[in-house]
Amino acid sequence: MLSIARKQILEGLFNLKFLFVAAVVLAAFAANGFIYAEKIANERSDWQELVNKNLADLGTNCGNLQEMSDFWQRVTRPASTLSFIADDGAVRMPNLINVNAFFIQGIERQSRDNEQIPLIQAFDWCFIVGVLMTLLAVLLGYDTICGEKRDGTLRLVLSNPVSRLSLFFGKYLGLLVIITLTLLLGGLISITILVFNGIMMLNEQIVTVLLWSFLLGVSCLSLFLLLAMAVSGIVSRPAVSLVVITTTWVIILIAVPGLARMVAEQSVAVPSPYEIEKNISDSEINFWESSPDGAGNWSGDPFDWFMPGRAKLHLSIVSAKQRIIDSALTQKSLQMKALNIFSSPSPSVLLSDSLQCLCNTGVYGFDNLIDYAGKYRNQLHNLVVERDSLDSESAHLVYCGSDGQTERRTFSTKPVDSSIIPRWHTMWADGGLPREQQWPVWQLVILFALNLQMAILAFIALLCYDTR
Amino acid sequence: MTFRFGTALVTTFVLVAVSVWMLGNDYTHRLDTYNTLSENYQQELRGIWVPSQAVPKISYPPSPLSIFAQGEQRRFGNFAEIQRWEVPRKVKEGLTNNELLQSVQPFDLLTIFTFVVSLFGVLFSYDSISGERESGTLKMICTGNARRGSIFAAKFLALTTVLAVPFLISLLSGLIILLFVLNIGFGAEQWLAIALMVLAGLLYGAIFVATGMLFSALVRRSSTALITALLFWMFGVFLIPAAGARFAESVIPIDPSTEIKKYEDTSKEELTNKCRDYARSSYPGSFETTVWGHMDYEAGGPVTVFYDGNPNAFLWASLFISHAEPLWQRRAEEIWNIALQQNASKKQQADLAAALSSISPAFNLRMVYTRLADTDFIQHSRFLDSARRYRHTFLNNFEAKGYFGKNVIKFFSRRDSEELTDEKYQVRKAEYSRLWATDRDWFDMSSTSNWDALESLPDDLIPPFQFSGNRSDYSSVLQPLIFLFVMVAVAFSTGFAAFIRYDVR
Repeated sequence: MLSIARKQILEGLFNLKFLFVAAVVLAAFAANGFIYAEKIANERSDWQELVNKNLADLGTNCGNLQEMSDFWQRVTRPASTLSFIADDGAVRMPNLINVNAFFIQGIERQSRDNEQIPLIQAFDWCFIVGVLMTLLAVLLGYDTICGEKRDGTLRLVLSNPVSRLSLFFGKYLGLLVIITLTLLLGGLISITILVFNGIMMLNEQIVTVLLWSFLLGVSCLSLFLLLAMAVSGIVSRPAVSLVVITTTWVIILIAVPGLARMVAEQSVAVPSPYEIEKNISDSEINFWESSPDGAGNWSGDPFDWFMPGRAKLHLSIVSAKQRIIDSALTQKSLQMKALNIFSSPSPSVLLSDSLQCLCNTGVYGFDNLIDYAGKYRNQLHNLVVERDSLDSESAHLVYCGSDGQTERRTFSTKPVDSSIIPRWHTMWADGGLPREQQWPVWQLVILFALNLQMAILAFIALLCYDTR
Repeated sequence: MTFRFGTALVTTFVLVAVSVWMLGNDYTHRLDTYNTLSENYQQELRGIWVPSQAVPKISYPPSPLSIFAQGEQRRFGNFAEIQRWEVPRKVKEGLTNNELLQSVQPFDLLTIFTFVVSLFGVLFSYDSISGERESGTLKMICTGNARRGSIFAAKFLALTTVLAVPFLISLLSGLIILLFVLNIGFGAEQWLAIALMVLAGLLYGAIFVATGMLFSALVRRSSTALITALLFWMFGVFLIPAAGARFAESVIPIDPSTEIKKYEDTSKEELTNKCRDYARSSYPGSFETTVWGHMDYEAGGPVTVFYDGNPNAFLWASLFISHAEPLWQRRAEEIWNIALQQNASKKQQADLAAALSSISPAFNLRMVYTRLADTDFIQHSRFLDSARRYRHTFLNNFEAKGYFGKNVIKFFSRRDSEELTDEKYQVRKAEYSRLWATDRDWFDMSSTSNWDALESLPDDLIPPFQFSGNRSDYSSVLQPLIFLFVMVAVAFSTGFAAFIRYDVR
């Protein structure tokens, strides 16, 4: 088995075709390093600027608890150091949200991208591995078995005391070693460029993520190798095998995610901005109309501006509004997850999905942004409630929009020590990763299962070969 | 009737049928949504009480050809809000409710042709010369009467025709689905656009056939020809458009979008303070808060001013509005000027990216398709241009009616402006003062119940909006079409030259 693998490696490595494609792949990895060194540096400085602005604004707003609680911070997802592995895809994924002590709302995109340029594929590892290298894998594997059938060498090999299993695994291992070496070399090139540009520090979390990425990348490539070997084992001529494999490849890459997008759009409903707005205003009108004691109107006493009934009304309006906004955000990310599930027959999508999970980009980055923004809102809210409870003059009715003339005494207006206000940027780990790193375990399991299934198929195809 | 032809036919047919079916349904759905939304917006506009509440939302319908090329339309959306205090820079509501889904390429005809048809072009032609040499038939052909030039040209034409068959059949079936199953009709202009799309698609396929033949004639073995042709395919379809944009991004950097936000924030604060000072210095006493209330609502947006209460506040509010309104409108123009500069640098970058990517056949095909389907950035910017022009008309109309000057009361109230001067006003003022002094329950004086009896809003308050941008602009399609043609010519002639010198042994 090992001698077959060695032969396959040598045959592959010193093949002009392979060297040609591998050179392109390595150049792409180098380009990836340079592109992302610049991009991540830009993103980082934008993030730093926003963090500083928020800190300065919190400093000026901490003179009054009510003003502080109403102050909108524009918070973004931090620049992920690992976005060179998996960026948001061909996308402008929203990365900014407005937070105060009561609300999260208004997702936007803040970045230096140019809407005049048509959306194009990001130049990340997902693209290099999922598109360029899978094609390389397919090209390496398409004639492994049927080429030998055509040349008649398969018959010769099988007439020796070599079992079909060891022949199969020898060939597979040989090809896998070649492609893993290419991936390893390319990855090292791109990492080296980023480390030398001072973009990335190799700490424990990042090294673990890198190892996971390699593992996922190799298992995706191995799946394409096995696919190529299976087709190669089934058909008898390399030309036919090539047509079948490249067609399958292009369908896996383009058609499956595209179709899944359409299915996802039709299976999970997301309210339109108009509907969201309408729901909010409807619920507000509803609360005003159904509220007892004249919506807590002013009593008429010019010296009594305190209106507890109005405050309670506002409180319920605010929580209903936040529920509507939250459910719309959840539906959006649910639809995106449905898309990922529907397109999981495509290993390339599985790969980019799992890499985005590791790198805090894509829908995972979005989810984490929403999740962290919610937590941050709660922290701010807890702080406000806690400070308010210390104030004996306050009526302890903490709600949003209380900064008006009339409801001044609903909760405390005392100054807050700016050092105890929670900070957005401290919630994230180094390198723009979430503190609780998620691991794409089920994606890896599916990839392994697909690999196993394809290996069995490919082996059966080889077994069916009749030497006569 | 080879295996690859069959595969090509079945694959393209199935993919196109599925895509056209789903996107056709999607188009009908979008059209419905569009109609409902614009009807809702019209209703909203008809329901306003006073002119200051008018925030028209203008739009254009989704293009039916977007079924073939989704382009950028769904990303950009097609509704724009016309506000007094903001020059429209981007579209407020999109055709898609979920911006996250953009990470996946839309599965339209353009995508299928870009990736699948071109791949079959390569697969059809990579062994057309070297394969015949390997099997020895090339020797036979060349020893015959036919000249090499005609052999090459004949092979090219034959392969292009073979590629065109699945392409045309699938397109035809797609059109049949649209016309007879989904009942989506096309106008004469759209049929012309479809014809141009077919032409571009054929040229695009021909490029890959010619390149496949070129590599087949350059090298000795079919497998080498295949690898080189597939590499070319990879460059032309995937790598060059991505690399061109990335290169342009690093050569011409653009300012981060925070710049404009920063100006927006600082100018808002500055102007708010200015208005506050004006209010404080102009209006004495406790009514400051009443006037201030308006401004607070107004600060930063076109939210309605609508006031019909106390006559003093009535007067002061009118003074305040005629002072503040021009300031906020000027701020909008200033923000737009900054945005113009930013857009200029973005345009430079986009132009460079387009110039670099234009050596890629896929990019040119995309240009042709999205332009013809009216789903590209040009269409979007045209719509925004007309939205800005419309805003000018809208504001000029208000200006002409004196809403920001002598008729300012009508701007935020439906009461007659004469009420301020004649005895009606004196009576009302006395009434207000009495109420204010006694039980202060003057809220019911401003109730809307008796408004219907008052002067109604003028009919020509909101000028009609017509967007004529849905006309295909064929001159801008010409350049990418010529590029596609030149690529076919270059690939063909180079391949021809290589074949002339080809050693048939």
